[in-house]
Amino acid sequence: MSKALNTRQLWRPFNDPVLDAQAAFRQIMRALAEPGNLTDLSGIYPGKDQLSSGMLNPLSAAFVVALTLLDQDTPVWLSPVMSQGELATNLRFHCDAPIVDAPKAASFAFLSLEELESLEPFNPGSETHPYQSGTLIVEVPGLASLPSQASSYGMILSGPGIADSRKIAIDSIKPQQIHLLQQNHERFPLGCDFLFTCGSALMAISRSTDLQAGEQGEN
Amino acid sequence: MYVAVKGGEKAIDAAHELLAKKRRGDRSLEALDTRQIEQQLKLSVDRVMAEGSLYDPPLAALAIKQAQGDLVEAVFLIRAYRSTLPRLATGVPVDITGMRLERRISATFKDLPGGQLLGPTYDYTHRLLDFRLMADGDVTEDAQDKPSATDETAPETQRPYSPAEGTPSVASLLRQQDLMETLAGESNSPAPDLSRDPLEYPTDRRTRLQALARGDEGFLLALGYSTQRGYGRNHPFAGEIRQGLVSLCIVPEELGFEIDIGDLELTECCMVNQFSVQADGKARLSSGYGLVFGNNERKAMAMALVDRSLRIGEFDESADSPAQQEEFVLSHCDNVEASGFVSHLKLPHYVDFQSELELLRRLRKENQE
Amino acid sequence: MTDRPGQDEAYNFAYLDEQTKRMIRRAILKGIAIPGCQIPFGGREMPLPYGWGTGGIQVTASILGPDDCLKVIDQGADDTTNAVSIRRFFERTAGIRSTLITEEADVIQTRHRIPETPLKAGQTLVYQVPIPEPLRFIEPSETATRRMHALEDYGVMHLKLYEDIARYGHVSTAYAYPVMVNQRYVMDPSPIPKFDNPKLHMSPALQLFGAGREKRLYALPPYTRVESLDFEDFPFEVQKWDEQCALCGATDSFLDEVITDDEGSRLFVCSDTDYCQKRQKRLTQSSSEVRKEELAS
Repeated sequence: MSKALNTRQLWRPFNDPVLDAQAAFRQIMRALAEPGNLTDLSGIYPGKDQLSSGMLNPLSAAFVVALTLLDQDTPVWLSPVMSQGELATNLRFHCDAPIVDAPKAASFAFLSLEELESLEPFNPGSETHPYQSGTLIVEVPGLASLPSQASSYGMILSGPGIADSRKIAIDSIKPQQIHLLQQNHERFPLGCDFLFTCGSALMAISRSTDLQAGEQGEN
Repeated sequence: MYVAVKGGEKAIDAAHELLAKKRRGDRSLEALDTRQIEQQLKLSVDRVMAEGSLYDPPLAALAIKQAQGDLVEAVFLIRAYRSTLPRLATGVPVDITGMRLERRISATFKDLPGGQLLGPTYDYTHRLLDFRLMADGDVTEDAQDKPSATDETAPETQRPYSPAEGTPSVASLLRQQDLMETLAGESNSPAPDLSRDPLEYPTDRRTRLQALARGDEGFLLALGYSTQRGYGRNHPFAGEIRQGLVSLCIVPEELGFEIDIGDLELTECCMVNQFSVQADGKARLSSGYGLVFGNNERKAMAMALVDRSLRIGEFDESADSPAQQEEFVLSHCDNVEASGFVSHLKLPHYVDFQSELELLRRLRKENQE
Repeated sequence: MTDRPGQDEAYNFAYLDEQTKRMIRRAILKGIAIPGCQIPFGGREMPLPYGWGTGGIQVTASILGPDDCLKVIDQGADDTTNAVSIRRFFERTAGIRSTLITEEADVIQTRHRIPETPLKAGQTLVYQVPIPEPLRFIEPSETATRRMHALEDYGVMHLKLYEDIARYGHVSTAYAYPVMVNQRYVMDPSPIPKFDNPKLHMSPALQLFGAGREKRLYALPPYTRVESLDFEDFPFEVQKWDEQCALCGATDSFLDEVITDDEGSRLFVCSDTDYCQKRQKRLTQSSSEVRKEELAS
């Protein structure tokens, strides 16, 4: 690091690095095991307006994922938008994670929804090692898990982790982006796994998740 | 009326109590001091450190005491303890030519720079039980008069370690004359770490050597022996065996220069093997390498034999014999894994056995019908 | 710092250090994302021997929290010595509550059985796995089996089952019966009797499998399709007993055979001790109470 660290840019870590990481992992694990299920991480790590230092952490769920899963063994890629804020400083400081320039080399990538244009740059794993793939943490403007009778929804999910089907909505997601998620599923067992975050909320879509674009309401 | 067997809890407690009693043995005799084990059963300590992959003589001695001298059990204790230790720093590769030698022999040259140094070896002892050790429980008196490990005034032949002036290796001497294989350029990537990352096949030589270094001595000895008897023969000569102390150094991030954090006792073996034609069209001798914690020549030699036999890919040899098959050797050389899985057969398997019985009875019944 | 009554302060919560837990947690997530696919992980030596549940223990240690209630079974029973030993390990290193009752448990670690009581959403079942590779006994080389999984080349497995049928008239695999997960990966369900295989299918619980010595883990998310391999004309079938449990009278549970004297007399009892005890309790309640309960429900 060439620049001296400004402690005012630092987000606070877990109160209890052992037990908070465990609690967070269980929620992340359940989110991925039940794709489309919305979960809120603010019970473990406060989101907006709740930080003791007064410093806002607008990306609390994404940061909780980082605190829980990242360390010196996990190369991380940050999109241009994600590189602008304090996330990079905090990932280096709290997680000791090496930040890499090539998305293909990253085991975790952080980006915003509007930057999700192609999956080409990311590592989908290989036929013999499909698990050597990247996980994408995508910050979105809004997330919702909807009741099955909802008439207006963005996507309908099915596959492992889903008893029948599950309706969800991701604000501002474009049809091309839904198509990307479908293409990602079609190359199963290769592919990336997605953790969508919105403030302190988290929802996962795994490569095993089959998804169809839903009925477009006013959503 | 049948009552289901209960009392696993009680049985375990009782077993542990009995074990503690058995371990202590006859209480009218003095308890073993771990320092005695460390000093007087040093070769056991060395083996436990090597296969436990943790260089810590006092802990290895404790493990041997706790395991009643069962070395495989002691290795297991050390490994389990090792899992809980944080990694503070990574060592700099040790300087083997700078080894303060206690022993150094070569079977390939009558004499060589640095000389032959016989050192403390059982090799030329007659294996006759020395009943004096039983009678007075102590070493012979004239041995006590001999110089101690730190005595600088002793005659050169009796000094335990040679000065660290640097002794070239046999391999480097052969390499100077272009008779020994040149090794493929050392990769700059960080060395794989078998104690943290799972073994992935096919492996590379660095990973194989790590696995062999902590592999079971008996297993490697048998495999090495099998290569001598024709199962993957590769004409070995003991090019050099050296044993002694090397300095272990680290470079702390905040200092930026090397500091010496202590001595390691190591045994190294370089086997010189049959020649083959290298990429530039010249024939050169090949080699196998063994390096082990402590004083353990048998293990270092066996490791070198097996290392060479596993290098079939580099010499266009075929994997016809067990010692040449990487997956066979590496998947089975770890005695903590092996003894665990063999001993797990003692666990109840009555559900699976019941399934077999049910099937067997059904087949019988259908046969009769 | 965590301060939990009963937890051994000399070691980190649940024994493993945090870096090891993160490594295992990342592997668990990959396992969940690719159901049935074996994920290598940097397994560590545990203070229990390899082959005695070190994989399951490492998985459990990586997911377990202080508020979890843990159940440990071996052969379906909570009081077999190995189950006791593993339960004690977690009581000592994590200070957690444990239970014998399937419904009360958040995490159940098991060797060789799936409880008879149906599992619920939110529960996690952790299996101890000796040999994770279903193709291992047909093809000993890891490099070769990895390629077979990559190419979905499972012909040899069907061939093996077919040869059984040709020779015995039955598939001779009675436990560790291979399954097809999510129509993609052939998976070893660990040495559970094939009686338990149907419980794998569309289970509401998360199922995690850990093989410590082989350093592999894999997973079945809830509601995952799990089909036992079979043939159209030889459909998969589970074991049946003519007998019933000598203690609770169950006819629907997996029965262990107990030899009661040296003339070879034998009787059968439930392998799932919790299930059996619950049924026995109900039997000892007076019949009127049972009737009242039935009326109430």
